[in-house]
Amino acid sequence: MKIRKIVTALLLVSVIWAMEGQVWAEQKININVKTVLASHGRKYSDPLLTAFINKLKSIFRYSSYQLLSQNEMRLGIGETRTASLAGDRTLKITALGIGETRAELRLVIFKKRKRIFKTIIHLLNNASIIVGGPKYKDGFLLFNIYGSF
Amino acid sequence: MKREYARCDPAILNRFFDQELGQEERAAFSQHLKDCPSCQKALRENEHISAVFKAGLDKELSQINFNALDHKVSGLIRRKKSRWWMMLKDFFASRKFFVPATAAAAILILTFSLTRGPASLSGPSAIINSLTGDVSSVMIIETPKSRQTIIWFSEIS
Repeated sequence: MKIRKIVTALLLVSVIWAMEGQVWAEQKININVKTVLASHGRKYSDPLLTAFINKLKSIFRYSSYQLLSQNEMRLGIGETRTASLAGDRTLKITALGIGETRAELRLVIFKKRKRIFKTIIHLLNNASIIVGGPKYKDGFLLFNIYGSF
Repeated sequence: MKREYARCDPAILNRFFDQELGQEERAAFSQHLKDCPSCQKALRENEHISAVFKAGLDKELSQINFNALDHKVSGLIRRKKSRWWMMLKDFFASRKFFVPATAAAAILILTFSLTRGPASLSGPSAIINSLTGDVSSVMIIETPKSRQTIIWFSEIS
C-alpha cells in the first residue's frame, strides 16, 4: 500500500514536470532596447531614464544621457525582430534558445544595410547587456538590451 | 336487442367466471345458467379449482419473508452497481498497471532531470559566445559589483 502511494506520487510529480517542461519549451523572451546618446555636453539626465540612469552613471563618466528611442519586442525561439537605432543603424535580434536562467540571442547591427557587428550572447534572465561605441552627433550611442522570460 | 344463450358455451362460461362479460351478456348468461345443470356444474368446478389454487397461493405467500427478499435484491443491485469500481480498483492494484506505471514514472523523471541540467543562478549579465564585425576595436567589460556586461566597439571610419 505504501509502495502504491509512492508510485502514485512519483507519477504525479513526473506529469507535472513534463507539463512544466512543455511550458518551458514554448517560452518567449521579452526584449527592451533603449538607445541612449551619451555625451560630455551640458549635464543632462533624461527623465525617461530614471530607472536606468544610476546604472549608467556608475559605469560611464558622461555628463549627458538622452534617450533617443525605445523598442519592445517579444521573441519566440528562432524568431527575429528588428529595432531601428539612431544614425541609419538597425539592430536585428534573434532568439536562438531559452534556458532556465539564460537566453541565447544573436545581435546583429547594420549601418546603411552593411553589417558592422555580430555577436551571440547568453543573456541572464531579467538582465541586460550594454552595447556601445558608435559615434553619433557629439557623443556616443549606447544600446541597452534587456531581456526577461 | 336482448341476447339469449340457447346452448352451452365453455368460452362464455369462463368469461362469466372471470367477470369479463358486459352487463347485457352477463344478464343473458345468468338466465341460461338458471336452466342449465351442465353449466352450473362446470361453474361449480371452476369455483372449486380457483378456491384450491388461491388457498395454495396464500399458503406459499405467507411463508415468504418479504423483508429478507427486499434486502437480498437490494444487495444484488448494489453489488452490480459497484462492480465497475471494483474492476477499476483491481486494475490499479494489479501488476498490469503497477509495473508499467513505475517504469513510465522512472523514465519521465530521468528524461527531464537529464535534459534540464543544473541551474546557474549568478554570473555576468551576459556571456559573449562569439563576436565578429567590421570594427576597429572591441572591448568586453564586466563591472565588478553589478556584473554588467558591456561591449564597447569603435566603427571603422
